[in-house]
Amino acid sequence: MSTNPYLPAPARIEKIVIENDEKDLKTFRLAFCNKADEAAFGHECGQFAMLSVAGAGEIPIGIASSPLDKGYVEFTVKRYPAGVVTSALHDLSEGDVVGIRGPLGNSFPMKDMPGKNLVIIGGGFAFTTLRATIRWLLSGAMRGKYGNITILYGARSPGELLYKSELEEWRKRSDVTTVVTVDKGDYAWKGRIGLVPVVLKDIAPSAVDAFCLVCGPPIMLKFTMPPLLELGFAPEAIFTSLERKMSCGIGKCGRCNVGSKYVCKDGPVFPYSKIGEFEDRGLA
Amino acid sequence: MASVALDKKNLSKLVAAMRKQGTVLGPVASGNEVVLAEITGALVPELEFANFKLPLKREFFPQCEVISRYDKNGQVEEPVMSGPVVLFGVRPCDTLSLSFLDKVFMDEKYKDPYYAKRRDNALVISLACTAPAATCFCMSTGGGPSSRLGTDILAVNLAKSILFEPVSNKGQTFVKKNKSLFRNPADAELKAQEKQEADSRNKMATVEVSRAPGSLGKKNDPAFWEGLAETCLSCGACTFLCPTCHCFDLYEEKQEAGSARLRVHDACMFASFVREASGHNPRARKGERMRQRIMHKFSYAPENFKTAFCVGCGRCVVNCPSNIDIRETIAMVNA
Repeated sequence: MSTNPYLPAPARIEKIVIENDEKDLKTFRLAFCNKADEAAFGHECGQFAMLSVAGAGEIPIGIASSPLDKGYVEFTVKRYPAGVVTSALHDLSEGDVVGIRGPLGNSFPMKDMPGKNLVIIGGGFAFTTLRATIRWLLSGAMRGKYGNITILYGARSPGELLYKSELEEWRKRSDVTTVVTVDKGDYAWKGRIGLVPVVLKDIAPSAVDAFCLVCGPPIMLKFTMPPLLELGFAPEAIFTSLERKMSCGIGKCGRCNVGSKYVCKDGPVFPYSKIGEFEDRGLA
Repeated sequence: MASVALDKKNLSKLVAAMRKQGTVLGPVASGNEVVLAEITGALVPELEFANFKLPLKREFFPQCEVISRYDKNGQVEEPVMSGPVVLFGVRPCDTLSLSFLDKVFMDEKYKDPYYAKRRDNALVISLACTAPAATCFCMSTGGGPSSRLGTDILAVNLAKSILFEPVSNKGQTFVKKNKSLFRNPADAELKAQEKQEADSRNKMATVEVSRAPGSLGKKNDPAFWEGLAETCLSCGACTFLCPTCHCFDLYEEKQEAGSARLRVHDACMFASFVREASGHNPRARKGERMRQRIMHKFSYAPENFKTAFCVGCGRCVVNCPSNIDIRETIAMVNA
């Protein structure tokens, strides 16, 4: 264990799951090579870490496993053709070693929400830290501490949904409402078809005593916020997670700011009230 | 601790004393310029010059450095850091920048070990300005020709002697250790220092930096920023030469026995600075990048660190190839 915040901890790839039909989304299950690094990691829901591949570089990726998942950390990574590190990661095999630096950033303010109802809305592959949060919430230790939980998750097509077997498990549970939707179905799809904002209006979860966590592509967020506000969610009760290109992840390299806030250090989680302020002033 | 005086004929003895402390870097004539370089052999530091072209930040946060190496098993190894150094004759605007950079790199939660080690290793002896350039405006940025911020010892160049005023504990220790070189200053010398300081201050231009944070809060019109950025070539000269600009990139280089991670200066004026692998670019337009640079210096830094990140050294004014003048920019923002 080093006190140098720039040094990654080595971790071995234990398992790789190809998540989608396009095969450009993979979930990497990583186990720290050193026990001390594992003990020091201890993340919270919504945090991210820098993942590195020797010789390729380092990128910020949201942590997809629950803080209660012991012995491993999971990250779901989309491969971009222009992405040097995402491509290098996708080329790795089980058993290979990568670097983890973190956990970094703030987290969803779950501690401020005991007993509250939760509405969790995700779109596409921005569902990763929400999946970490849902796993954590639905664990035996945590489920009783929160009120009603509603999950709304959408993807472009059935084949692009992440964590398919978990979605099925959650759907079978009676202590959580799970709504999955796709923009466009296929011959086998029997579930909902419709964009997330439209389905949100349809299922109309109550905003009474409730908080909302929402992560998705910018276009989804843009159209999801108005119905949320109409449902009665206050901008301070809606939390989302921002993404920016990062180098250091610790507020020094000057890259990931939106206005005066660094996404790496002051975020990635921000209340919608803050995001609205950035948008109103056109700050990027 | 009060100032002490050194007769100029003893300057080489002082250099020898500094050498006992570490590698001595100071003002050295090079062609038509005076540069910050190692004072080797019988070389005597220059005392008459405006300022170095390159900012002092480079001694603590080099343009390019290896921060770690690793082999294929992921084993990391920190590089050996450079040893003790004495920086003599640097200008107060540049030491002021150190006091700003300390806020970024030495924060409690994430201390930057590379910067911190170099700061620990360095004794900074600044030299008060006697002839500010026409482009200098440090009096408007919280500094001044004799600012003591960020330095260990402030030196004042007089006709026949140099006064040394210890500012930090490190500076006091150095002066005490070498007290045989120094004598008490004469009243006339102290008076001369006062006069010199006042003269330098009077020569300094005023720029309304303190009003900028409030003014920037209202400058939301993209057209204003596009207009400002129109002649910008996105060359990065302003950021690389700025003593306070500290944006960097970390990147990986494959090497024979594994790979090295390097830290290199970067610039928010480059189109690729925030461009993501997906192609999305939050600041795709030059005006947006100009806005970011100005906002970072004169709005975000005051909000986060209680000070604008500009020391008024004028380097960006002198070296911009398309004559973008930050003093004019601030005036336009305030207008």
